[in-house]
Amino acid sequence: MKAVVIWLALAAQMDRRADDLYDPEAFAAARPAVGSKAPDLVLTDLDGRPWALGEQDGRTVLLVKGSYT
Amino acid sequence: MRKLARANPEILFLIIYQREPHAGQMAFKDVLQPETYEERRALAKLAKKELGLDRPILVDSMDDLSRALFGDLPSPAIVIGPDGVIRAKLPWAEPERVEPLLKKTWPGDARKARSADEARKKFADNPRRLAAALVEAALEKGDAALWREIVALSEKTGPDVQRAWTRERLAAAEK
Repeated sequence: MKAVVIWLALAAQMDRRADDLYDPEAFAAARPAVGSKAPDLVLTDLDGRPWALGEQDGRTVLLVKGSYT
Repeated sequence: MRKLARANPEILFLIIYQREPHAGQMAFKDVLQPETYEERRALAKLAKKELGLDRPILVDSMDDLSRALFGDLPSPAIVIGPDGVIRAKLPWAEPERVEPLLKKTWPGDARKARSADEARKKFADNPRRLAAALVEAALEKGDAALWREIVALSEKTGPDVQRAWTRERLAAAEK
């Protein structure tokens, strides 16, 4: 019984955390917040070409993160 | 999202391919979490092919740097202005929500240079942006002379990794 109560409490906490993560206002305010400088990041593309996020000055960038699954 | 990218050629649409959130689960039982960068890149190539993605895809590092810097949601959207300042963020990149954000945030004069000549005129006072625009032109129809120009610009302005990459491209063009 005690284990079930603990499990339910944890599940509720996880649901709440997930709700917070997807809250648009909370996400906009989370670091890096809207209005702050974007962190610099250098990654390579599928052909091995390096891209520095901070080197795209002069253009607006829409950054979308994703994956196969 | 593809439609949105085509309607907004002035905006650079970048995808960061990151750690699989559901590897080995539900409909993805056969998809294993990549353990090496090459495996992650191979999965990104598969996603590009199967989903018909036509925007640049950057592959996150195996220490998940982009998650550390931008948060660990599986598919957020972040609009970064020409000055490098974050203009808007969405926890989930739904095209119908992204579109109004773009209309609100991108400056109409930030046009992409269509050729090397146009780039030289447009970005004469911004060597970093000029180098980036020339790379676009060089990848499309570049010769060794154009890559030499890019290498020279990168030597002055680019990070080490970018300098090394442009030197490799120059060497390949000179062969």
